[in-house]
Amino acid sequence: MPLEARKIESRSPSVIHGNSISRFERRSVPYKRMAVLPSGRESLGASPEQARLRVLFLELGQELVDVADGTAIVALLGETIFPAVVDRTFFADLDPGLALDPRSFETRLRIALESEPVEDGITHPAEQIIDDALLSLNSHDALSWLRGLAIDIEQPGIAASVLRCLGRRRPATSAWRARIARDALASNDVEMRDAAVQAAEEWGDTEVQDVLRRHTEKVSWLRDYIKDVLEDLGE
Amino acid sequence: MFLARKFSRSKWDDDRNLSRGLSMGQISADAVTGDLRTRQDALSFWRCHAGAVSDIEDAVLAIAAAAERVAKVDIVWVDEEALRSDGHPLRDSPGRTPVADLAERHVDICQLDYVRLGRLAQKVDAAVREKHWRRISKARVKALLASAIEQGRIVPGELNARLRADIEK
Repeated sequence: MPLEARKIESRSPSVIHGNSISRFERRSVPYKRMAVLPSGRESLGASPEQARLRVLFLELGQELVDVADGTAIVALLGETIFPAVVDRTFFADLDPGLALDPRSFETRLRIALESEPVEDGITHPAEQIIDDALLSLNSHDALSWLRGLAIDIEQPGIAASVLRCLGRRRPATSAWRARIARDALASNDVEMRDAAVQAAEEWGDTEVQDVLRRHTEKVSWLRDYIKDVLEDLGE
Repeated sequence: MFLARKFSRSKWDDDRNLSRGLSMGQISADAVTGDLRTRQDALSFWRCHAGAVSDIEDAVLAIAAAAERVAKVDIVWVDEEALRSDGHPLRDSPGRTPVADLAERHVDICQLDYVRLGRLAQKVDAAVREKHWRRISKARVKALLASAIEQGRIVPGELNARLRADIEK
């Protein structure tokens, strides 16, 4: 059978109980979206953590298959190690808790941030909400919502708090982090700019350092801090 | 002597206040509710000498050692005598810090009410304007903690596990 890589088709998932899918079946439906369940649907509903782990595992398989486009060896690996990949919405149907509603996410985050300020050196409840969002089925959307909140000049207090919480994580890519730092530094609000520098200090990426170097800060104490951060990160 | 406390510099900034519709010299409510959050009508401070860097860094060390992770610290210090003459009752109490030799430097400004808290906020605001504040970077805080462990001033086991991991990174 030729090992050419194929684009994944988006269709309703087939459910296969257990991992006993045959070699023939695998070969006959390579790279189609399928869900492989351990022993029945009820196990996923009872254990969201298990489902989340499985989603992550299968995402890895999905990534491998995506990378396989045009690479026979990787395609073979993908087929062997990850016999099936799954449509994430399938899990959302089973366990709605894994899907994130933007309104409820924003409300939870806002309430957490308004209930108590983000304090240096102290873990804030909003961090867990952000973690949940980044691990949810729509983590990609969550990044977009978080970015929107972190650079929202209409709500600079919330934006600064989100930035500081994001600084305690390493969300997305260095390019995403650099972009958010750059956009927040462009704000007219010094608390937002300060939070962006703090996040940059935590992330420490080369791209983020470049953003700090290119930024012209008008407030002297923050300018001094940027200089200190760049010196510390350069060591 | 001065009394030092952790705060958030940007919340006390005129530039910030102006961009949010407050006037020059006004104190933001977020600054008060965020940085002067009382517990049992008291606020926690650390006593230090006349603003000497090493003394300020001791206060930073006391605060940072009680934290959950290594982070930069903004610290502001106000004149103890000015607080006393302003009618603020002070009460020495052992500070909650793993740095044993600093615990006795802790002091509470107590019996705070709405008016006293406002006056205290004005003192903090004045201290910021007089540049009686410093930002200690994350790297410096980490160095202070590591050095205190090396000198035996901190028993690592008394630190928060995450903070310990940050120091060891």
